[in-house]
Order: sequence, then C-alpha cells, then structure tokens
Amino acid sequence: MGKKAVEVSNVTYYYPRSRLPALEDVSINIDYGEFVVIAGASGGGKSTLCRILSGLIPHVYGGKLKGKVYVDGIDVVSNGVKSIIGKIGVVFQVPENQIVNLVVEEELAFMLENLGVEPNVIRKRIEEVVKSLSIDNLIRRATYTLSGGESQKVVLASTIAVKPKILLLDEPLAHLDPSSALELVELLAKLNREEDITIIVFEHRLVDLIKYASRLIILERKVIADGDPRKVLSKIPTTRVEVPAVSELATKLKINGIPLTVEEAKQCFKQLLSSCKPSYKSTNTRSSSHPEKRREVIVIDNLWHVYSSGKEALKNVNLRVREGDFIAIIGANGAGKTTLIKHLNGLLKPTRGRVVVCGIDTRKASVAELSRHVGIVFQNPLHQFFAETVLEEAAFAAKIRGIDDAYEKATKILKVLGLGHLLKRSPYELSAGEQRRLAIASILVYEPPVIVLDEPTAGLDPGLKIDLLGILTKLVREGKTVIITTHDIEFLAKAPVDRVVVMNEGRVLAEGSLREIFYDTEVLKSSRITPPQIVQLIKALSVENGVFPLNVDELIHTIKYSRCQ
Amino acid sequence: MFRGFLEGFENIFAFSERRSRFHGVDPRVKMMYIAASIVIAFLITDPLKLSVLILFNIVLAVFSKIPLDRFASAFKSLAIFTAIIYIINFVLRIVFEGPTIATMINTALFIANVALRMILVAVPLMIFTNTTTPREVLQGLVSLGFSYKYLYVIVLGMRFVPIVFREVLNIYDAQRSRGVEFERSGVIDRIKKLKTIVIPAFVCSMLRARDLLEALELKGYGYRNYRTFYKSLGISKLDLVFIVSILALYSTIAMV
Repeated sequence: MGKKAVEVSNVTYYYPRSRLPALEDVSINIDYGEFVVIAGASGGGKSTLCRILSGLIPHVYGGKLKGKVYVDGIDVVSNGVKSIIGKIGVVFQVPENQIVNLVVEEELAFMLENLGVEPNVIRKRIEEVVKSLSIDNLIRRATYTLSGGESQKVVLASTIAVKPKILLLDEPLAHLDPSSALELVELLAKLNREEDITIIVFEHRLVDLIKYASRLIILERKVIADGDPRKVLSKIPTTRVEVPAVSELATKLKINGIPLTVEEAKQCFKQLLSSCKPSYKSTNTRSSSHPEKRREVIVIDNLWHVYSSGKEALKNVNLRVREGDFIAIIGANGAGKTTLIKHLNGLLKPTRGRVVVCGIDTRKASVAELSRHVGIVFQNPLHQFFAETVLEEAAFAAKIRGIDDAYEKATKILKVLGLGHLLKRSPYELSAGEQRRLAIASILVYEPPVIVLDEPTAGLDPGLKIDLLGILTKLVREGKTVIITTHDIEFLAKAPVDRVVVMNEGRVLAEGSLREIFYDTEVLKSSRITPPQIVQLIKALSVENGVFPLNVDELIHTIKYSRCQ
Repeated sequence: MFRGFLEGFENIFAFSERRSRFHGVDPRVKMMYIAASIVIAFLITDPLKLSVLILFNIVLAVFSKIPLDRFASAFKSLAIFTAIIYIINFVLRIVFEGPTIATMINTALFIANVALRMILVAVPLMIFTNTTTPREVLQGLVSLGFSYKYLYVIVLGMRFVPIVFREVLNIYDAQRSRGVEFERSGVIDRIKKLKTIVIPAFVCSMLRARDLLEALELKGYGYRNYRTFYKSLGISKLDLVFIVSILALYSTIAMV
C-alpha cells in the first residue's frame, strides 16, 4: 500500500490543564489529490486537528497527545513543525495576522528566503504564483491596504509559492464577504485540479465549498460522519454545519440524491415546483402595526461623509427608522454600512446633511449622550471586554450611567441570554457565541430604545446563528428598534425583518421588504449581492409567479399548502 | 483629539505604495540621509537656515510622492505635540522666573526653534518611512553583518504598529459607544477609564502575537541560520549623486 497524504490513527488530545479531550479517538486517512472538507460546530476540534497536522500541537502548545499522525509519510508528532516545512502549506482564519511583510512581493518571497532558496529561483516562483492566482494587480501593494479577501489570497499565494503537496486551511472563509469567499474557494478548486495539490479545508460554511469536495468529514471531538458529501449531508442536522439551502430542502423533503448547487437542484425540483398553484401567503414578514403612528426614532437627511483621506464613504443617504422597526442594512464590503451606523451614536459626524436620533441632532450631542438612545454592538466582542467577570462586564454600562440596580438588571439579562451560569467566569473564557451574547447583554443592560449590531453573525456556526435570531426577534417583539448590518444573506432570509436597505459605494441603492429586494435581480446584481439559494432556485425555474419563498421552511410551506404534486 | 493624534502618528510611519524615484534608492544611502539630517538639526540654531533646509526637504518629499493628506495630519500631530511641550516649558519658566511677558515671548521663541528642528528631522524621516519598507532596512543592515533573526523584530513592529493603532481606535470607539466619556473627566478619572482601552488592546495584541508566532513557525522563520534575499542591494551612481549633494548642501549651509 502506498504512502498517504495524511494518516491519523486513534488520536486523542488534551490541551494543558484540561480534563476534557479536544479530540477523542480520531482516525482519518486522506489520499493525495483529494479535496476534503472537515466540518463541525464551533469547539468541535477543527482547529485542534489542523494544528496537530501542521506540527504545532503538541510542539508549540504542549498538552497530551495519544495516537499516531503521519503527514506526507512523516511522523509529525515526534518531529514537529520543522520536519514538514515546505511539504505542507497552512492558511489560518485571520489573514492579516499571517502576513509578516509590508509589501505583497516581499511576503511572497519570505518563506522561500527563510528556506535559503536561491534568489533567481524565488523570483521565478513569484512569477509563477502571481500568474496562477491572477494577483498581478496586488504584487506592489502595501499589505496593510489589502481587503480581507485580498489578504487571504496573498497568504494562499505565499504558501503555494513553496510548492507544497498538501494545503491545510483552518476556517479560511470566516472573515470574508460572500464574493471573496467564492473567489477563494474557486482558487482552491483550481489548485486541486491543475496542480494536483491535496486540499484539506476545516470550515463550517459549506455553501460554496461543498460542490468541489470529494469527501466531507464531520468532526465533533470524534468523527461523526465521513464519506461522499451527498451521503454525509443527508445524515446530519443543519444546526451543526452550514448546509446549502437546496441540500437542506432535499433532505427535509426526503428526496434521494441530494443536490449540492442550485444548478443541480433545478433538475431535482423542476417537476414538483412547476405544479404548484400560487395560493401561498408569506409567513416571514411581520405585520407592522400602523407604521405611520409609530414615532420616528432616526431621521437621516442628505447625509454625506468624507474621511480625512478624501474618500467619500457616504453619499446623500436618506433614511427614516420608526420605533419598533427591524431593519437590515446590506451591501458588499466597503459599501458604507459601518460608516453609516457610526453616525447613529455620533462616533462620526456628518460632513454634510444631518442625523437626528430620538429628536437630538447628532452634531450637537456627545457620543455618551447619544449612546443612551442607541446601543451599538460592534463586530469583535473582544474590543470591549475588560472586566474580571461576566457579571461586571454586563453591568458596566449601567453602572457608569448611575443606574441603581445595575447588577440585578445585568443578572436578569444574562439569564435570558443563557449566560446565567457563567456570571463569575472571565469574559475571555467564554466561547465565541457566548462572547457575542455577552456583548449584546452589556448593551441591553441600560435599555437603549435602539439597538444596532454590526455583522452579528460573523464567525458564528449555524446553531449559534439560530440562537442569535431568537434573541433579535424577542427584542423586536418587546418593542425595541433593531438595526443590523450583514452580508449573511441566508441568515437574513430567515429573519423577520421589516425593511432591507441596500447600500453600494456609499449610496442607498434600494429599500424595501426582504421579498421585494431579494427578488429584484437588478438591485442585487448592481450591489454585488448573491440572493439566497431558494430565491435563485425559484427564479431559475421561473415559477415565481405569485410564489415568493425566501428560505427552506417557506418553500416547504408553499409546497404543502399549494397542492404541489 | 485623541483619535486625530493617533491617526497623525500612524501616517508619519506608514509605507506609501506610490512608486517614486526615491523608492528605489539604496536603503543604506537613505539611512545616511536621515543621520545627516539629525546631525544638522542639532548643529544649526539659526531659524532662517533651518527654514531653508526644511523647504529643501519638503521639495524632496514632494518628489518622493508622499500623499499630501499624510503631511497635513502628520503636521497636525506635531503641532499638538509642540503645544504640549510649550505649555510644560511655560509653566516651568513661570515657576522659576515669574509670570512676565518676556517669559512668554522667550518660551515661544525657544519652542519655535525646537519645533523647526523637529520638522527638519520629521520630514526626512517621513520620506524614509514612506519610501522604504522595513525589510529593505533590514537587508541593508544584514549586508553590514547583523543577524536577520533579531532584526526581523523591527520589520514585525513596523508591520503591526498600524494594525494595532487601528485596533486601538476601534476599541476606543467601542467603549465610547457604551457610554465611557474620555473627554469630559478629570485626570485621575481619565487614567481609571484608560483601563477600558488598555486591557482589550493588550488581550487582542496577545492573541495576534500567538497567531503571528504560529505563522512564523510555519513559514520557516529561523529554519536556517542564513537566509537569501530575492532582490540584491546595490548603490547606483544616482544614489551617490544624491547623498553627496545632500552632504554638500548641509555642510555649506552649516558653514555659511
């Protein structure tokens, strides 16, 4: 029997000072040339396995490891990172933390220089990799000016410049917007196909990835499933990994031969959906009670914002938000979403035009004063944690406002958000999902009427996204005004939002209900947004006449109540 | 104010990707240019001479294609810094010499002179950092016999300083959004509130350092005692003309 790319036999691993194993009796064999996706919920051991294969565990991290691990025939547990340098390439989650140099070209040369490769060979390799990944426009750029997607491409390029046989990627899509994620996945498929590199991706965002995978492994401390992607997808619940909506639909309808893409789904569902009678009524949109009677909490008139660099980030934005609205602001990276929400509590002031929040002109009030009315939860919870315990952290914003029963209020909110058992823990010991909920709790504690969340689903697995959706829906029901910015379209398709605001290059391109926006091909195209898969399917089959489902549950509802045969 | 101050300093040190003749000058020559500028700033006290030299260096800066807005924000930060020095000086002089108009004027003249000298160093430094990548500096030093393993720390510093600055700004915004008021409080209170920035900044930097350590291990940093450089260094005739002209000009003005 020949050598395998990866051989993991009965591996159990404990981190230092941990009594629970991060991996338990894991055995995986991967052949050369395979494209393997290893998925699973957060905390399931994906990153741990990636670090074992790359030789970082146990050599850098310590801990106790039982079992055998061979990568390209080398025993990495005994020999460590150095033994496999140049044979494997590793790409981690946060691209900017893996780039060491200030200019892209220097970064591409870095690893080869460390390995002592001759300068003329390095220059040739750089040329090859630039051509193969089509990144000639990036080569002279300063690395700190790159976007997330561009940075991840540079990391990938610098890794494959060494010509590794195996490429390991640990959640490479977590910090990318949908279009950058798709581009990266296509590059990986190309490297697998044309350069015969074995690709192993640890990721729970499967939508774009799965069609290229030759094999899907579900890891939750143990190997739960391993095999052909279609077979594995039909067996696992959708809360564990982010399954393409069309695959989920087929699983729920118990259809054999699960489709992985909208194209495949067209064949599967053509007959069924064409026979539906359009008697479907929406279940998703909330019926807003007399919108005109609710007071306006945010009024934005002719807002322009020009940064000191001269960049026009917002151009003539007009927006009205009423009390109790649930609004989503969508758009590709750089569309101006974050700049807009920073105007809502005065972090940024209008260059021209005005923003009025609960009757206060933001130009005339301090951030502290405005934050009483608008609470913003930013993308990275770690940017706000400083207290020793979860309770202190949650109570902080109420305490500085002189609210008497700050701790009682914080305790109550933490319990509602499912963190009641963690009051005495350090915020840093929490999981990603718990940290996100703590960040929300620390804003809710002083009861601002408007709550704004910037990219709240970034880095969350599907189960945690469902929890988040529950929290937001509850807030809206309680009468709060909720505004979210997101590029997570599949998440949005399940959310009961009243209105979607589409932004592109600093302008509001369109405004309307989810259904109006997601079924408007022109608007989505010009704002570089891909519609949810269910919408793509309905449109591809041209059966939208009177039937406008947004997500899997709505489509199943349609099928049930529209007498489809 | 705090935000603008940080942004200004970030701009002084950031490498600019616009290509100019200066980007190609040998890093060792550029280091000599910085050294010469520092020496001349110490030697000369005459405000007229200082102004001429500053003007000359500003012309060089324009040729090196430094974005204008960078200049503006860098000078703004320098102005704030100078104002702080002025106030400290003024208070000290009042304590020792008494509050007279002469004290005020003398302090102002003294500080103006210090400011001119600072600008005379700041402009060449800006030209240097905007046109030279830290790695080129490193390569220059390695060619002089230093070990790359220790020097790369400087490159990492230069690479991550702007990122950490940006992160501190984000943390600052996140805390203000929760209602922390940095501007309207007393000195003691302000210091107490600083922990809301310092702790998250520290934790985020530690996490970043862990990621970076892993990346360096996997990129074979320190794998061998020697390393190659994909570009070779070389002082061209034009580089020589540049440094000789600078030295000639500086010494002429110093001696006039």
